[in-house]
Amino acid sequence: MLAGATALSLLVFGLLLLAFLRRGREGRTSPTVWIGGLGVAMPIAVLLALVGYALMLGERIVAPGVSGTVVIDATGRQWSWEFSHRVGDGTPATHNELHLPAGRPVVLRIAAVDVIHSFWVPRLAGKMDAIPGHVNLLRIEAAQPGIYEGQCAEFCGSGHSGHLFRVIAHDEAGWVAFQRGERQ
Amino acid sequence: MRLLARISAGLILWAFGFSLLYALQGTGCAYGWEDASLFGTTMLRWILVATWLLLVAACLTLLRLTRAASSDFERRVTLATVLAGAGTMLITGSPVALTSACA
Ligand SMILES: [Cu+2]
Repeated sequence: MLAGATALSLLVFGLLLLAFLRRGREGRTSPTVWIGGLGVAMPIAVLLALVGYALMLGERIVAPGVSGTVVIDATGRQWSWEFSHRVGDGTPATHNELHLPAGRPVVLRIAAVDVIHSFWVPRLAGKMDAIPGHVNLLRIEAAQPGIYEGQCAEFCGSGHSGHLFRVIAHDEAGWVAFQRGERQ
Repeated sequence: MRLLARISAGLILWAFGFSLLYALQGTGCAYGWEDASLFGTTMLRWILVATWLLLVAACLTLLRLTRAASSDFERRVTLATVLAGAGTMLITGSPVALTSACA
């Protein structure tokens, strides 16, 4: 992302410099090139590439998932998050703490009970709305064990700024222990 | 007024087609057409793809309007808007064939 932005900035600076250096010379570029090429064809090519990339990203986020995927319910309310982990017996439910195994795909079933919230862990994935009466799927994967901060990303009332949670990504041993109901 | 209708027909049909696909997708997911399998894929997929292709074909039939044009200017504007509408219909509708329908 940064490399692409740098390359584009340098290209624009270079073209601007070129325009200053060659000031005064007669341009011979035809209107067809300006309007048809740079005004129509180039934006279409760029936008098509971006749409293709966005569609692929979207498929990866909502993909039904491969076998071995962990499924967790994430429910937002004013002003806490409840996570049902559907593992082992008793399905440990936690408040404001989402436990998952690191290095494995996890599918979150995101919903809300009162107003619209938005589930957002900036280091793991983009935002996904939590909507009453509707389940949205979001696929995430934490590469490394550790703690990832999350927050509600849709204004949901006076407690919105404190509508926080954290994601605890376990290593294999820690995940096994969590499933057995042992909490560190 | 007739002139305006002729030169904007391609874009209006695209706007209608996009709304139709949008409505069909939401309705189909809500009514479970995704769960009914039919000839190797889902009923929803068939309905969406067939609608999309029919819409693209309908956009292309509007090319007839260029023959009814009364001036060269009208002919060129109509050709441009009809082709823009058909191309946009083809591209904006393509996700019904490419992506998962309900999630
Ligand atoms: Cu919230």
